[in-house]
Amino acid sequence: MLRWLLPAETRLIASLLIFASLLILLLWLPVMSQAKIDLSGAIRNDAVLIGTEGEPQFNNIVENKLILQRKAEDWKFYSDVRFYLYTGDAVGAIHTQKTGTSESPTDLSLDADYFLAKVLRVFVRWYTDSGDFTLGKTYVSFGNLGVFNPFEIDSSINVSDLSYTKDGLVALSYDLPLGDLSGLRVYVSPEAQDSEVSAGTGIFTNLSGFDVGMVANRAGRDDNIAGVYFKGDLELGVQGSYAYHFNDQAQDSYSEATLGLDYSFFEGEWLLGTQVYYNGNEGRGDRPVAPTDANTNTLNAFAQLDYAGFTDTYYLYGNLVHAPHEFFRFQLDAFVNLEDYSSLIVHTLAWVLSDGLNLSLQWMIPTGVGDTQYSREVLGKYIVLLRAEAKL
Amino acid sequence: MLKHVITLSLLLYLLPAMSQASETAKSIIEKVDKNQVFVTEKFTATMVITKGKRTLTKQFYGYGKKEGMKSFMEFTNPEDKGVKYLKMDDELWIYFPDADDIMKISGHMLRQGMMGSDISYEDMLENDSIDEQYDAKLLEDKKVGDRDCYVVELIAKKPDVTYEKQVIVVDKNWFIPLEIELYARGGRLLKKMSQTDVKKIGIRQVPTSITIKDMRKKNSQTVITFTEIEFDVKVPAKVFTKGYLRR
Repeated sequence: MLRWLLPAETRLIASLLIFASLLILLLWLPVMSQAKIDLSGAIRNDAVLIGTEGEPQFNNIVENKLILQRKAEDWKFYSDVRFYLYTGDAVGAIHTQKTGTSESPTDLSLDADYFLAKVLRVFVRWYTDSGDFTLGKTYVSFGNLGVFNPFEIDSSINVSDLSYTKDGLVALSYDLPLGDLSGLRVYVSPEAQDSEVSAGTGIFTNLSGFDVGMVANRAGRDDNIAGVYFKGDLELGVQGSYAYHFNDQAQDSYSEATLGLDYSFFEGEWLLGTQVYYNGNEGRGDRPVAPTDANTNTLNAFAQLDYAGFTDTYYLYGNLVHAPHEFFRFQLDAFVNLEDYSSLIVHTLAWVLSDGLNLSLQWMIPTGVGDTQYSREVLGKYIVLLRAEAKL
Repeated sequence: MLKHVITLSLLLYLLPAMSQASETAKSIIEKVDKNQVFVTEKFTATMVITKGKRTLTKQFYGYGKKEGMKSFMEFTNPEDKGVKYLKMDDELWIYFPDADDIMKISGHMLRQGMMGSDISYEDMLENDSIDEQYDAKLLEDKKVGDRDCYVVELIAKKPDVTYEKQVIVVDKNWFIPLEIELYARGGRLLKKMSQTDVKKIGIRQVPTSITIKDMRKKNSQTVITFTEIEFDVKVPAKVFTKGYLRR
């Protein structure tokens, strides 16, 4: 559909042009003395115990997040760089992923540490009277922000960390405001499947208190999507989306859809949310919600469970939060396969110890048996995560 | 002559008292509303949340515009750095810097404490006229510190307001509520607020410190201190747009 934008052969040239432009900007921006420099970040330590049929596995991951921003009246430079230090069984898992070998992690030296540096995002955003331009490695988002979003370009879900920050997409995007609450977004990216160019557009507005939007996106060869989404209030919070997938010949189509409700109780201390996900691609061998290299590279402690893959037709996501005050939160997240009724249940207790210092304890239990999707035999009996995080 | 001087002195003494005595509940809240009227506002504030012996401090700045009841806020403390709010009438959107994306907040979630504080999103973003929302009844005067105050009971005109009943204690000279009690339907006391550190900003007397206690929570309170406030300053219209949240 959008192949006219750039032929496949020019992908490399497009990538080089974008990176060259970015490099020039990076050299130029520091001399802009009026721009405010802003440095922030976080240090996070995850200690993880995974209960398996054999010996329990232990991983420890230190993540250092560094955010550098320079803001001026007409532009913003933003970079998000992460440094990871892995210790324990995760080192073997990373090796397996990087080399593509089938070696078991236990065949490797588990005493070794593994260090990884990664740029999740680095971009420049210009604000002009004709709209905002973003160039670099950035997030290009369409649809409703949430667990199931058919329009999300990197649609992987990390069930152990739903707020997990994803890898950006090298792209040029353009945002045109069409009023206070309306706008148009267009992007083009040399990063796509099958050496193609990805490109898409979305338009959004607010109608009678509902955020509504339409999206058309070409993720790669024979991977096109078009659809609509909404979010608003009918006493309950309600949101939904419908996406139609089709190949370049406008054939071999299937649908994805979501419908979600949320409500809070007891003056907002309890929050209940639920979302049903329909995947019409069931049985075709693909995963509409698929892991990406980006996330596997940053591998968190839940290597075996990060990408549950929503490959069956119907799923239910449930979310219960009890937050009586800022210092404590209990959260229950559940993913249920509505065909084999297996589920993943994630419990979280989180404490704010002081300004910017957080501690959380999370345990995840698969409930399935046998060959069900969330089988304890496959995924392990339990996972326990102790996380300490300091924001700077 | 002496008689005239005495009469004039008596008048000068009595006039303010007579003026105060003639205040009705409606005229008091009209003056309170008038005192709060602004075209635009710009502020910087600190919010200290206390639970028992533990405290958290959050910083934010923002803008407000009366027309269209628009507000914009951005948090600057490390924990919440870059989180932004946009309120348009009674709708609210939050920008998450980690996702570089915007989420519409469901209406029922506006009752939640903002950033876990004792003040809800509704409280923080409320800028409707009291007179438009409540019927007022004057109760017996009281003193707050050394300040003489009116006590006004407010009963909601419509069922869709946040608080069914309020009791506000209004300073007789400044026409600023120094104490506010907020009640739920059924008469349950939900929150107590006090406004202190009144400063003259432009033509207005403005309380720069607000203490909120959620009576359903034990040992909990939130103090918001405005370190800077300006009224009727020039605020670009683009501030109150979804596009501006991503800047």
